[in-house]
Amino acid sequence: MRRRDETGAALVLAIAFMLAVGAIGASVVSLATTAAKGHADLVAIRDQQYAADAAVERAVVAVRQIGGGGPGMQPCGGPYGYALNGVAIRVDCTNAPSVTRSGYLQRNVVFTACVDTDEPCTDDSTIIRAQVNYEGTGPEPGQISTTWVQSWSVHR
Amino acid sequence: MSVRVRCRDEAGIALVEIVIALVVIGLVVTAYFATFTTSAQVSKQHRDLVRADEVLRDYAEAVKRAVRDDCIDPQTRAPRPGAQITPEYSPPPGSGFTVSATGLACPSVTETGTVLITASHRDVQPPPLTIEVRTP
Repeated sequence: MRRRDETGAALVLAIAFMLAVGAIGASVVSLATTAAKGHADLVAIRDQQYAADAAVERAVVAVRQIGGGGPGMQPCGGPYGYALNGVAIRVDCTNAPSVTRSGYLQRNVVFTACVDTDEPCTDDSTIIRAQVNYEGTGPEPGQISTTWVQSWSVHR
Repeated sequence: MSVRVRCRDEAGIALVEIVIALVVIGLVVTAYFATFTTSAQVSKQHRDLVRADEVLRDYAEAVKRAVRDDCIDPQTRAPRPGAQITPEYSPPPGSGFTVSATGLACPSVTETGTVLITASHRDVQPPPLTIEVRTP
């Protein structure tokens, strides 16, 4: 005969054991999935940033080909779209000409890149903002000899 | 003097209970150490992947820096399409990483060039990174 105070003890012990083993197993699974998700997020952000970088580079080249008065004088066009590393990017541009203290006109264009959602890039969605100066020393008004990146900031 | 009398139907119960307890404790201890081992493996794998990401990013920036030096004549600032891009970068010593790239040629000023960067390691194989480069 089992004594009265031992009644049900095996069940309690079995449940406690199952809970302990389950908690350990859950923690291992959680650790593995968290690490995997962390790395996936890291790769996704990296791919997105370099896709935006590539899209801006392409837009800079495209604007360089603008004829007439050239970049910074003629409308810069756009939006420009490009997909790289599995991410579709939209690039908007605006002319930002300025005059130096010595009186030289600078052909500056500002580019903003964001994930393409068919909406213009906003401050919140912008991944890269870049200001590029197009230096024109060729014989034609729009001819560009070189480009200078005046600012290039990664926001996200 | 009192004598404790064990019932006949409880004979050998203590031995069985001890054996079962030892088995249970063994399982718990095994699971405990397995947790630590798995945790250490996952941590190392994650650390290697993060370092691989750093290696890829650093190499990408080295390529972009090299484009500014290699794709333009330093004297005349004339573009040099087709010239070799030679990034100066080597992975951290002892990290076990090697990095390589294809497409390391200067593009003309009317296009961008695509560079595919691959990092490899004995334990992890990070996804490659594609970047675009442009002659200034």
